[in-house]
Amino acid sequence: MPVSLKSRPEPPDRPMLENAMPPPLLSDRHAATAARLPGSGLAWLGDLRGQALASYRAEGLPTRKLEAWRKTPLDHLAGLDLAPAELTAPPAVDTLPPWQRELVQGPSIVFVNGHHHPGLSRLSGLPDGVLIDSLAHLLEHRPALIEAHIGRLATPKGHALAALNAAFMGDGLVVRLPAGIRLDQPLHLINIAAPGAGAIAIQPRHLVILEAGAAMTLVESHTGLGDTAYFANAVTEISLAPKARLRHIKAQLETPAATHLASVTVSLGEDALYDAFTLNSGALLARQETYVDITGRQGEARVNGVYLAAAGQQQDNVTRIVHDTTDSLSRQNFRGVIDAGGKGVFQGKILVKRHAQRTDGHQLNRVLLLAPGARIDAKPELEIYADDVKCSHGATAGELDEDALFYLCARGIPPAAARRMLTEAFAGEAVNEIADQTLRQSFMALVRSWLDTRFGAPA
Amino acid sequence: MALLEISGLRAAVDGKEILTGLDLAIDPGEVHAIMGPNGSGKSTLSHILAGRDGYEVLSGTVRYDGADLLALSADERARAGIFLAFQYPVELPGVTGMNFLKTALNVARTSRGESEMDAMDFLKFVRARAAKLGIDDDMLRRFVNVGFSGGEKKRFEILQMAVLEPRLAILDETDSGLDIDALKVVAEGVNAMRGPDRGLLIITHYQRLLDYIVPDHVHVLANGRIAASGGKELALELEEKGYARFLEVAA
Repeated sequence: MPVSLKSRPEPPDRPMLENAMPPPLLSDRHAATAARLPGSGLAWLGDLRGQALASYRAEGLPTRKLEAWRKTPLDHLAGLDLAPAELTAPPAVDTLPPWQRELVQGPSIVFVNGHHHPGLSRLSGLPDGVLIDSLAHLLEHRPALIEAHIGRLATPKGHALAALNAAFMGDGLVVRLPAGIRLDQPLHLINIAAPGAGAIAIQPRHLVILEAGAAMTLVESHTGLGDTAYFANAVTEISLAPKARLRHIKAQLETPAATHLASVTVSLGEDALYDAFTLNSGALLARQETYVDITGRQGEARVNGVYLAAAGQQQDNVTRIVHDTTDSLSRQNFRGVIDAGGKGVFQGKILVKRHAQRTDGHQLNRVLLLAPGARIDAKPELEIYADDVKCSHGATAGELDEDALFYLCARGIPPAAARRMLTEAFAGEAVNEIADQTLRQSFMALVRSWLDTRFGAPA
Repeated sequence: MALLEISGLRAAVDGKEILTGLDLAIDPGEVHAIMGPNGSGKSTLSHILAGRDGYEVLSGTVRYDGADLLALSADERARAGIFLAFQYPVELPGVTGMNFLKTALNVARTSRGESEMDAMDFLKFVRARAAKLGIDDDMLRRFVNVGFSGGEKKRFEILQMAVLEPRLAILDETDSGLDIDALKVVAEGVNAMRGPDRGLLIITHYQRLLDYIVPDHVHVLANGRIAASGGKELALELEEKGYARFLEVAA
């Protein structure tokens, strides 16, 4: 069905002046794409996508008029002439970038432009009953399974980007671990953007379902090839049943032409653990949104990260941890390193509902400003309605400690190497939140290669 | 040739003259002690020798091994063999003691044209020195000075000295904050470093440390200059009679 300005639903409160505005980004490309999306014959999915599209059209791409987007401009996307990445015709990518190949040992599933690439994926030797597959494949073969889970946690209403993703979703990773199953090795979700001549929008939808007592580590890596612009808008829905444990470790090293928006929504059952770490060092603009609802008693959420912003880059982190039950725990430890001309945004929230007694929540965002002209906007928030809680937050921003620098120099370490050493140590204190030693070392190596670019080789 | 030769050194902090014409010469193999009351310029002297920013040298010269020391940056001085044991060692969160020692040692070695020490040799090298100072592997795995007691901090300073093997070591109030047992351990560590090629400059307020590290020469620093020099007996006299007469003379 062709889309025109006239068919666009108009919210009643919108001023007349804005009626002349063009349709929101990508919405006019939906009609031409919809029929080719995986699962296009499924009525329920057609409804889901259609409702999402309507919701997105009504809200439009977030603008800086919204409190949550006040510091995060998306205006540049309008100038890109974005086309939806074709899920039916993936580009020829026949090797993995070395850093992704070496990041972690274990099974891997590769997505190129959001499209599953079986040739590069390695998924052998998994325990019986474990489902690791692509969304596109499952929409063809087991649509009922997908119908039961997709869109349940990441709802379009009030989340324009989740709505945009839902309107175009067709592929992504689906993981389901049966009760009690533990994966010994991490699963590596490899994302490669390979735009050709024209700018593309990549909108993967990932589902992770861990049944009672299941446990795994999901490592996510993101990169791109070439210098054409692209827009990644990923949505991940994670459902953790009682006593399930998911460690979710992500490395975002997109190209400087990329806009990387990712939201993760987690539902946490009784005594379940969600333990996340995100390294954001790539992209022109990156935004990691993590929403955790702790609905099961003694649920535990750990959301940590390191963000590194060089000149011209912006790195955002948005968290919202909802304590919706008694005796739950959350920890957030973020560290940002920002260079001249770089920008960071941290919006972290802990919400403790009235009945969520004995909540233990802590949030920390510490930022190192490497040079004049580095910028951080931090908005830590505690919203507490229960009366028996232990909650705190902290936010700091500053330069390297002059006394520490002198101490290192007084031991013969040249000033540039000393600055590098202290910066590495600063970021390392958040990298140390990664429980697995091998992964910790891999991620520390990624931080070091960023430091190599900024400071030169270590002493 | 003197290892260190300070002549007529005048220096100011925030426009206020702290050192007012200081002369001092240390030959290789000698242990010198500088004693003085608070505010006499002891810490200013140690910081200027180590190359800390924020001090303005008004006149005078400092020659180390015959060369102009003040022309070198702090890290160049350290690599040339000058070591300052800090009065207040600095916490380095995220930097383990082992990594810190290894980096400092390898920087010194490569600057001398030597190869970096391999990991196993380094471990042996450090452990042997650490053991003498009562420092175990656990402490070496901790972040430098973070959560260390006063005694641990000072012992770790001495370990750094033992690892870096400087030609001139300056100990700035190394006795402050130490109980008698820690003081003995630290003193033994310092005494083990005495040798014919090495100079030691011990800066202290109290004579107590000098019972354990016996100096060849003692100087009284008062109002920014050396007010008197003598042998080890001068330290005992100061302990007994205080600094008053030097302050009067200097004023």
